[in-house]
Amino acid sequence: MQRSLIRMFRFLPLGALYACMALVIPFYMLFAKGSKASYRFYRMRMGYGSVSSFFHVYANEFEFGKVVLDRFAAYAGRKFAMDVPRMDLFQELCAGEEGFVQLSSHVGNYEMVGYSLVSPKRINALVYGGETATVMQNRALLFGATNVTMVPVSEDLSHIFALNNALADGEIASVPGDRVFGSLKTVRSRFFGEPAPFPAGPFTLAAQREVPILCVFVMKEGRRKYKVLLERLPEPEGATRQECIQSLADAYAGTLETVVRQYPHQWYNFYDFWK
Amino acid sequence: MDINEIQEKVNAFLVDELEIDESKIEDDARLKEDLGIDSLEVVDVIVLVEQEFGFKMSREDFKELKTYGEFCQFIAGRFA
Repeated sequence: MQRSLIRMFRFLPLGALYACMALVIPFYMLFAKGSKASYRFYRMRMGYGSVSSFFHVYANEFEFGKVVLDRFAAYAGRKFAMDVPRMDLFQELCAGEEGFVQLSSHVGNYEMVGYSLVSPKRINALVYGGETATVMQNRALLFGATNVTMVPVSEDLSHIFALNNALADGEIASVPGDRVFGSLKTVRSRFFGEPAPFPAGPFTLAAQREVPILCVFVMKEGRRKYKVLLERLPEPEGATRQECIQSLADAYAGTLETVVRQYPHQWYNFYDFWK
Repeated sequence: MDINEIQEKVNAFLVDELEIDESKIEDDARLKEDLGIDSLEVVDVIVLVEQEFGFKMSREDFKELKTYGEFCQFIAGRFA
């Protein structure tokens, strides 16, 4: 199925596929569990009206559909324009000897980062272990040229050792900052006015190894255009381990909120994030 | 480095950094079930070993260790 989809992307115009997606979304909205959570997000967190929130859910699901299609288009060899206004932040960290944590989020289309942030340091990207072989093969093919290695989450904890060794060797560990998986430990930080659980893992890893965190958000700005927003989190000085973890998580939550407010339809955590 | 020095360093780390109740730290305390060292704390533990004892632990090393006593003995073994 996925292979056929990738083959199809070589011939069909992206706009036509988006149009098909636009027609399917209302049916999807009726049955998808995530639509309710999405509606509550626009109504309660973003403060939109009840009717307006409904249309925001549609726009949100449509944007999500588009970024999924874009991923397959990229696997099929389609090119996208990538604008990186603060490339200096990435280059500065890459020029240093120490490794760093590159924090991804379920907003925009993080996977497209492989196009634009090319570095001499290897990027070790933590990925969900249950992805299909087709997706993993295409990712490997696409990102192999850009020095990205996939690290699947594994029950035997090999991913923890892989990421730790990567940072010790001055490489980049790319991990999601807004989704709990692997360890269930969380840090609560204020997000849209209320404390929300964030995974403790990325912040613990950075605090323990004393390496910087660079937040990366790849936001869709046009049919074939993305903007890569970079933000280096301030490193707390003289703080205990716990204070350091909390401070990093708070800074990340603040940055994430700013980005989500700027691109409200590109927030793809379709569940009650605050539970 | 003898076993007492190793235990002293490990205990200080477990109590101060991971906030583990000192009364729970016994030779037969299981790392995961009794001390609550899950996949996340593994990062802390391997960095501790690297920084305090000067060697890298592999995944295979860690897999074999079930209790606090075994963990300290494993470190002592590297200095024997």
